[in-house]
Amino acid sequence: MRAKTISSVGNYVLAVVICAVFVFPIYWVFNKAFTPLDAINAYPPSFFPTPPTGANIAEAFQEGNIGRYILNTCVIVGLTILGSVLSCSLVAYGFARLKFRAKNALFLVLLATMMIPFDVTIVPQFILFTKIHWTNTYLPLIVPTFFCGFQGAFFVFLMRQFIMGIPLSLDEAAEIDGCNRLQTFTKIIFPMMKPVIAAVVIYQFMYAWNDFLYPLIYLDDFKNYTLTLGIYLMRTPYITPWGPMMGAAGLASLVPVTVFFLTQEKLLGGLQTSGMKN
Amino acid sequence: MDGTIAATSKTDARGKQKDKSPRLRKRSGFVFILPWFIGFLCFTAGPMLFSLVMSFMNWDYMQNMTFVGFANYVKAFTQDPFFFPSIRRTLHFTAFAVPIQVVLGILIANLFNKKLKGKKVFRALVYLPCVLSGAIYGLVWNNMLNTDFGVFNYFIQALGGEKVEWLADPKITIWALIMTAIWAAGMPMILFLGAMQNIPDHYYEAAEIDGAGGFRQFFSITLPMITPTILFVIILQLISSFTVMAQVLALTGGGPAKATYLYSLLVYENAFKYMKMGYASALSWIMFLIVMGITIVLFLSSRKWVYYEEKGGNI
Repeated sequence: MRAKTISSVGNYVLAVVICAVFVFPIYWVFNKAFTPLDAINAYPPSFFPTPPTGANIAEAFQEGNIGRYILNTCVIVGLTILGSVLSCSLVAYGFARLKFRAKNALFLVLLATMMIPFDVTIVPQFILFTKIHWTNTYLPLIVPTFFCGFQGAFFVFLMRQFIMGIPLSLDEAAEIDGCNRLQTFTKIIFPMMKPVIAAVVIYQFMYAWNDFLYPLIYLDDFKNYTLTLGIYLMRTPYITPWGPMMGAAGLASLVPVTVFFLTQEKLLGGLQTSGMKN
Repeated sequence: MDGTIAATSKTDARGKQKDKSPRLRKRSGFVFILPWFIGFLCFTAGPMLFSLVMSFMNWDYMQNMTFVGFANYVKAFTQDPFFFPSIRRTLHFTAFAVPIQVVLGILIANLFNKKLKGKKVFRALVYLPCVLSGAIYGLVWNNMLNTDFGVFNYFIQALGGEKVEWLADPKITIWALIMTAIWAAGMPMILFLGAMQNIPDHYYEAAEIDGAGGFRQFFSITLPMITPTILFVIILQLISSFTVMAQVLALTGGGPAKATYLYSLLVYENAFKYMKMGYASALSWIMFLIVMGITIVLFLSSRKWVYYEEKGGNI
């Protein structure tokens, strides 16, 4: 009994230490975001902003144009969520419920696309989007999501799993009531998919909010920058403006961290089941 | 387009009693997956094919393409001074980062899988670094690893060590990069935890009756039962560490003295800095083949070490 208590206390201590280590970089973003400019590069570093200041964030807005970047990012985030939810739910319904030739083979192809390193597609995609004059617009970042692009294969996989858990009798009842396939989907299945749609919305939100490489490649005009790109490009080879950069980084991190904590059960639960697919 | 879908399906629904018209049914099913199929052709398969063709071309993006055969590939292997070093660095990074992430992921998942109050909070905290943007993450580490005012050197000095030039000493920077990859262990941890929670309790109960201790249970039950997930995670992390870029750009930019100039940066710079599209395509196909090769070897070896239940896996 006693040995058990000791080992469980030990487990707690270990868990707390591990969590402290893993959280530290995120803590550091927020610490620096609120540290006064004259103390930001101080050594030894302060572990708590004394006194906490909003000056870094204010400067990020004034000098760093962050307000504009946040707005840009929100536009992209909103439209990509729309695209992913619409296209992936429809495709997932097709794979879960309907019969067509080579369905299983096509589904395997869909899963296989998750394994392709993006380096292979990014160069020819760039050429394609340049040829049709989409560079320096948000189209290369948004349009693919309406065709299950970027993380779409993963979303289709998650949604298909979910639909397969919905009793088939519901579809049959709808069909008897005179619904065609599309109506069965829009009126019966889609409304029932709320939990998995919520998960996809959160994933897509995180992905689009954090995305850095695609904006880096496609956006040239600073007016179009997204938040992560804008923060990255605040730095020059000679000067790293740590104050506004960390202030903006704090803002850029606050949003996904908050969303994550509010939704972590759903998000991590979905991930856990996706790992069981083997 | 919606009209056609509705029309075909309506024929279906009505035709169900009299004429089943299986061909029409089959076609209408395909209509639903068209968005993915079009996207697959336009944004994945088409571009991949185009890039394969391009890898046999010389094209600096402005002038006409000329067919050069295997010249791009030959150039990579024989002339490009950055090719082999960047492959070596990428393999170095992967060979350390992936095993560390997998082992840490398993150990932390095993800890959290015990009867631990508040384990959902612990689980979330360890995953937390994964919700940051790679660019922000690299930036923060750049701050923490700064030689003069970085908090890491403060810890080292507090423990009696000397300041380390994490990002300035070419010999050390690759290790700094590997170290930052440890914080990505949250994702594997979540997947392992899911797999562990799926192991039936009665296995452990039976082991307990037989007198097996914690270690024995871990090595004889937990570990074998999660081997399918281990394979899956290794492949996932392998691909992500082969293509790691955002963090590296923000943390080191490939420096100092190209010490962290990984293969993905080589592809990126050839394509988007020097606009050598043909050569960059060849480089990206070489990477694809390397990743595919390693994945296939892993799959083949998995018969020896991955435990599959009798029923067989369903995807």
